[in-house]
Amino acid sequence: MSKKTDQNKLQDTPYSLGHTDEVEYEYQSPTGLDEDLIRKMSAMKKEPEWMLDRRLKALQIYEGMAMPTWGGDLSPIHGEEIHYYTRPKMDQAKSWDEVPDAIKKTFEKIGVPEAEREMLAGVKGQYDSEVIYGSLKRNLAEKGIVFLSMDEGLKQYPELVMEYFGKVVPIGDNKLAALNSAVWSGGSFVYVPKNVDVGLPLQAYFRINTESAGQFERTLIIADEGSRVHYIEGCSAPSFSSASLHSAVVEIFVKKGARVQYSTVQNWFKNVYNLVTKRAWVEENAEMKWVDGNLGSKLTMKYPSCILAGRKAHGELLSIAWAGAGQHQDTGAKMIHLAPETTSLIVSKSVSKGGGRATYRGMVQMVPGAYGSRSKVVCDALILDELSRSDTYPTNKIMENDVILEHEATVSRVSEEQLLYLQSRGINADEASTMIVNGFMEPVVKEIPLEYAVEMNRLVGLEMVGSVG
Amino acid sequence: MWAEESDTLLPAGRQCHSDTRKNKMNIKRFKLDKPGEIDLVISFSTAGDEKKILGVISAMEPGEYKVKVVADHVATNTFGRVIIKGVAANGAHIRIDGMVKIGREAKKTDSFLEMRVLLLDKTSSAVAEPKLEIENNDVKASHAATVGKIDEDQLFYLGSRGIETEEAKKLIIDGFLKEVKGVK
Repeated sequence: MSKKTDQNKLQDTPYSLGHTDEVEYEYQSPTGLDEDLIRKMSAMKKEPEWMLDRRLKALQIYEGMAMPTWGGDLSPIHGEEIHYYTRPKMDQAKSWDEVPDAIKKTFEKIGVPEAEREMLAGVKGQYDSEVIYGSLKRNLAEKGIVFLSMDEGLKQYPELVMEYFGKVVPIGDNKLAALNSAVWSGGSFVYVPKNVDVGLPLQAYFRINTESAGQFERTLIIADEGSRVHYIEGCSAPSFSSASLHSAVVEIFVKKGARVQYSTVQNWFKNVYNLVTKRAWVEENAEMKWVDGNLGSKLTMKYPSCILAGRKAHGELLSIAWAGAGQHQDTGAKMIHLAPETTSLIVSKSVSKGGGRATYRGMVQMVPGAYGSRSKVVCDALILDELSRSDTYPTNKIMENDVILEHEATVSRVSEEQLLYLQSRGINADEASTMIVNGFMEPVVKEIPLEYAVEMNRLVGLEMVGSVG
Repeated sequence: MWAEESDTLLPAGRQCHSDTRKNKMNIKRFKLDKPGEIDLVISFSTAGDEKKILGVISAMEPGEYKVKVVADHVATNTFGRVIIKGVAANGAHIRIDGMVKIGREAKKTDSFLEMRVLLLDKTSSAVAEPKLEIENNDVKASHAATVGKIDEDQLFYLGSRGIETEEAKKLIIDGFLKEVKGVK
């Protein structure tokens, strides 16, 4: 590119959600992790014995496993400096009026109440480790839909939780899943009964708000036969001086003929380590769609997966990764084809800029007997300046011959022809490159709910100021 | 196993930097037709290097056929094409591990990595890993991988022209491999 990029300008881009509020905590665990903490935590939550047993078993596994050595640099994470459990000073508030002002203010900044008033069915804001505000519109309850915090779900539906918790992400799946299984707190529990269409999206807002607060949500979604649900998870975290760890586990069961969409917009502040395990079990004729936007965090390692277990099951992942200065987005997808005539689609788009690094890491596996299956993987990367980096690490394991697998990836920059064309139409260089980047991401952005799409486009505009090419 | 040749013909779709490329294109071919391993590092260390690697994997016996290729772009203005095609049957397993590496200083690189595998029967399998590591933005880099069986439509078409299934399969495989085998 002929014009010079103003690097300093990029790095100083203000973080629009970078505010922090004073909140009193009823309980904050000392830093570090041991058996006593888990016993104390489980007792405070009044959990059944079996859950405590699982937590302790998970802790044992966690301690015996080594941190992953692949992916991003995890060495700055010091487990002994993290508060594993914090609890805001109140029980779950029932109505908006009961929510304390300080917390309300934060929610207002992110726009939760408006969202609730206007169109969202149930708003669950997660303030640190506990869901402190939850509401469900009456019609949801009438349909028999359960939308609770995970802790509440465990209290009210212990049999369901016992049956499904840890079934698709076993406690020893990986070190971070083991950590989550040991210290999980908060997250959502969703059950959609047979043939029920939830209609409006269910939304949860996650936030980390205390320095070094670990955030270990656990979400479990069960979509019974023929049901439909769209769950939205959005993240924003205020500015902290020391690195924060976020390690969630999401488990989804998509029963026969059901359809689930799980949309995430992750916009953690740029010192958060976001290490997430997301996996869905997809049965016959069912469909699972992950829509994943990764804009924030220092390092994200996240590979949403679909286990296509029933005939004609379909899995999809649409993702966008934005890696700015100091960021590493190591994201991707896994599609495991276990049954005949299963199909999957992965579309991954990444933009790296100002020294950022975007990595696609994915796997498509087709086992013997998964005949008639098809998979298509498309990875496109844009590198906006000469300091940035893009990697693609796909693995395709095909153990069945009656299948079709297609994989393609391209890496490019904003082309001079496109810029020239737009400029010849009187659009200035900044606007033109913003337009091109937005156009590049559009196929994925159009899948996410409007308010996030707007936020995403705005963010691109903000980050693109002063950069050409 | 190895053959080297030169080729002044420019492959399609590479007009972009052609004015600066006066060297003859260096073409290398390899063939793997017994279980085993080929490990290749193609280094683009002189400015303007142009290299094309064409590989055939004919995996008709039980066993593992492994090919590892790294296209390592270090110098500026280099042009690389790696095309590997394989057919597998009778319990053969093909593993292709490809990597396009483009360093910070390797501006104006144009690199493409392609791997295509036909699985001819139930007992054959394949792993394809086309990787990219790119550290500067003035590049064109892409890869493509496909794994699948012989297209039923093509078989049907040839069958409707009176060609027996076995003969039709042979024709399709020949056509599939033609690009990398070269005309001899």
